[in-house]
Amino acid sequence: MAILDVHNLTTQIPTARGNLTVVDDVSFSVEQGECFGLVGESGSGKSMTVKSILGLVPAPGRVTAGSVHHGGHDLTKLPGPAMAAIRGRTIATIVQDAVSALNPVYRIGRQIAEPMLEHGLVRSRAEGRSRAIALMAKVGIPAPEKRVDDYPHQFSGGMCQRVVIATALSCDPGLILADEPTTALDVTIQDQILKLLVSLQHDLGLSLLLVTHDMGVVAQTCQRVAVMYAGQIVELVRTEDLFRKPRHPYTAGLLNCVPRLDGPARRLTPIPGAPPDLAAPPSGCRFHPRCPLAIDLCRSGTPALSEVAPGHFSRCIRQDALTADLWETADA
Amino acid sequence: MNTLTFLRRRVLQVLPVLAGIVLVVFMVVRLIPGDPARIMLGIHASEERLANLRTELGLDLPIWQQFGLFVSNIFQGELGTSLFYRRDVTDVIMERLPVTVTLVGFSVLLSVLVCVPLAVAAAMRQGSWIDQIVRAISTLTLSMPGFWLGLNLLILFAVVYPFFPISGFGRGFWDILWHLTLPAITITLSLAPILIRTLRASLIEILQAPHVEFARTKGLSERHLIQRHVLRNGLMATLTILGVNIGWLMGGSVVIETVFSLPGLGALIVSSIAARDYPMIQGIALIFGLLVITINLLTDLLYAALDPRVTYE
Amino acid sequence: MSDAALPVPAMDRGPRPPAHNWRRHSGLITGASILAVILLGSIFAGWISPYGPLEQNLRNTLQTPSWTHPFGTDNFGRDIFSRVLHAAKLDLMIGFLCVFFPWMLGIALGGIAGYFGGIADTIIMRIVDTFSAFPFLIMVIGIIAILGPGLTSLYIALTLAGWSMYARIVRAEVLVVRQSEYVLAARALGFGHLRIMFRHILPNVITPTIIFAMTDIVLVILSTTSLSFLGLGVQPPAAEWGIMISEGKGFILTAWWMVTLPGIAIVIVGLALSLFGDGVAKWLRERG
Repeated sequence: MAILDVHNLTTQIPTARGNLTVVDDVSFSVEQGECFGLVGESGSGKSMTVKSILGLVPAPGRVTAGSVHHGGHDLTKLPGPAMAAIRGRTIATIVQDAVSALNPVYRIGRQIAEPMLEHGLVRSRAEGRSRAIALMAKVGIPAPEKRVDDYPHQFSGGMCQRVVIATALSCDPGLILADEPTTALDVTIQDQILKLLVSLQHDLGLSLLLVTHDMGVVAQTCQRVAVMYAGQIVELVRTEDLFRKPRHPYTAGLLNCVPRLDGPARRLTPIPGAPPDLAAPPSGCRFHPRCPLAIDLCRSGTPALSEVAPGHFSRCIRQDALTADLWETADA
Repeated sequence: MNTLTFLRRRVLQVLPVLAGIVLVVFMVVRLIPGDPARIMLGIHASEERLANLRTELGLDLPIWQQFGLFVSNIFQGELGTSLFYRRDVTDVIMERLPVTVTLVGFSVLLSVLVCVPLAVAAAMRQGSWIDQIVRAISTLTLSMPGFWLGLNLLILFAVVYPFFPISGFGRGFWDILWHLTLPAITITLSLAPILIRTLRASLIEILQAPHVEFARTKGLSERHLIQRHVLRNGLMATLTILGVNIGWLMGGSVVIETVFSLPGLGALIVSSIAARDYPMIQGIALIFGLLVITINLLTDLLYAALDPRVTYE
Repeated sequence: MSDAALPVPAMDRGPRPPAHNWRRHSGLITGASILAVILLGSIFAGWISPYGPLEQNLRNTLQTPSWTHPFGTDNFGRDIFSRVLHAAKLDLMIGFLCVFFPWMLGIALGGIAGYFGGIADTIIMRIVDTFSAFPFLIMVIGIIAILGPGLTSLYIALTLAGWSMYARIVRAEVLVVRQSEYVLAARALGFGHLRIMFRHILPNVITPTIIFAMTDIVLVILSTTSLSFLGLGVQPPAAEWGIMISEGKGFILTAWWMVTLPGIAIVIVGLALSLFGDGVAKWLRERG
């Protein structure tokens, strides 16, 4: 049973240079209890996808097509107050910059309890405060009874992220959208937070949509993953299959950029070129200008996301020509 | 560090500034070329009066003794005798101080009540017609001299439509409020361009701040969002703007009191300058300095109360 | 191997054709035109105005605006329109001079402070800090209090109250420019300090001061009219907008035009200067 069903979601932002299609015909679903990864470079549209799901696309951009099914509703068609009733309650969010996400003038206990008060899950500040203490303990903040009345500037980056996670958990949501939750943290803290997320997911039976640019994070936490490029999903499959045998040149390129400790040392090759201008994307496959496998059909046709192997979706029509050394440079 | 320590520290910081003001006021009167006594009493003053004044001001003493005398007098509340009113400067000032304070206080209150909602509306609906109108009116009133605005308001609402009194301060709470309405509106209209513009820019920044976005993901209604996460932070910006412009406000009160014939300190300093009543000018300058410092201190305290990061060291 | 060309990012598509875009500089043009009209009117005030600015006609006092007296007459029977025109000359001149003098003084002192640094810098900046501590109008009133009301006092007061901001701006710019390559090259070639300051540094630090001067001139004109209104600036019977409004204060019950019309002149000049100033600032910034 899918807790989130995204069909053909399209989001556009009008600019002086033309309409930017930042989310292009994106479809995927997140199953109950699953951790689903959304991975891609900056500008690939992954954060915008999350914003589109939440109905928080900054004006003048807006969702122009598609649907997002959750809890029996199409979120794209819900009016403001109805959507606000879902945010924080059945779908919670974890952000990248936790320190800035907390309002510096309020105590953190109050900020953790805020969604509970707003959605009517507690009736008084005092009740909210005690629930906040319990949540802080659950996310591993030491001495919560003492720290619940502290202000955000008294917390470190990693602690602030725990506070944000506690806030997200406060109303017992079924789905958590995590937008790059560890990017702004030190590597050691990153690991702690990721482990925390995974354990919480197991303990509470949560579903998690994890947005990241880090393939390592995906490998550690997600069961299934979608790779995004220029606003489109180019590959969607179980994580282990992605790493074992990617079926899109872009994915292969991304994996090639990750240094590996097993095997001989080799040169890291970035993918040549740059992501396309979303106001005037390349014809046909968006990746063809940078792709070593591109043929005429890649330029002229409109490749669709199709199932090229059981449970493995790819947008590449040349994926069978994909070899392990596609991105090796000549003198590697 | 707790609030008390913070308060003590700020007061200590203020003392040298106070000392500086006292020094400057003292020096200024003695900078005037010529014999101060003769300047104050005029050309036709008798030698006896000149001699009396010189002794009273201690003008024949060495300068540092004069300063000592000056300072000790201040501590006793002795600011000299007005040449024009022939009364104690302190008495005259104390009579007029409440007028100026009430005027400035009422004007600030009115400005906040009018400008903050306008700035919020303009910031929330950037580019809309509300925003454009607010900004257009701001630019317009920016070029209007305060005294002209005030006079036109008088003409419209005290002469053509005799709704408000033409001059005076009034007696009793409501009467005073009625008398101060047009002056306060004038000051608000003059302050509005700066206040609305800066506040609007601050609010636009706040609206795009990460903590507001995060608060949205918590499912807060727009109303709660504005009340709790935008206004509170915007209030601090308002306070800063008002604090920075307090000197300007005091200067403005000088003009407004003259326009509306309000018996305050501003009108007093103008008439004293014209009359060369130096003891009075000196006294008012000191009181103005003291007022500005006190208001700045209060602003800082208020800011510290609103923003917990300030007292944390 | 693919021979597809890499997509050209939007920024690299070549220079845009120079936009002689009058719409973009509409503010500058409007402001400049209005100012030109006012300036011409004030310069030729003697020729254009139907009456002399001090010409009294006691049988014609407090007349409403009419064909013979477009702005009416005041309590001395003087034609207000003529006085407004002549006042334009006075107020604009004061406005210009009381920005020019602080500008020069500020550039000189700020330039010295920034270029030579060391003790000159410390002393000058302490002085700047002291002057900046007082609000503008308060300081002006204070200086006039010492010197006594009058036109000369006004000039001195406005100059002394206004120069410190220019000094700050120039010093900040000079500190940056001082380290630049062409200045270091000039020093290496042995050019004297004066030559370096005038030929190499000055042209590059002037722009921000001009931008600031544009807003400053509006402030100065407003201050001048306010001070004259209070009786602390230009003295009657001169034709000056503030004085005219002050004289009209006693007659608001009977002759509103004495107050309202000269003020409209102030507002128009203020708006025109603001438009012009913003336009100049925009143009200078776009020039690079």
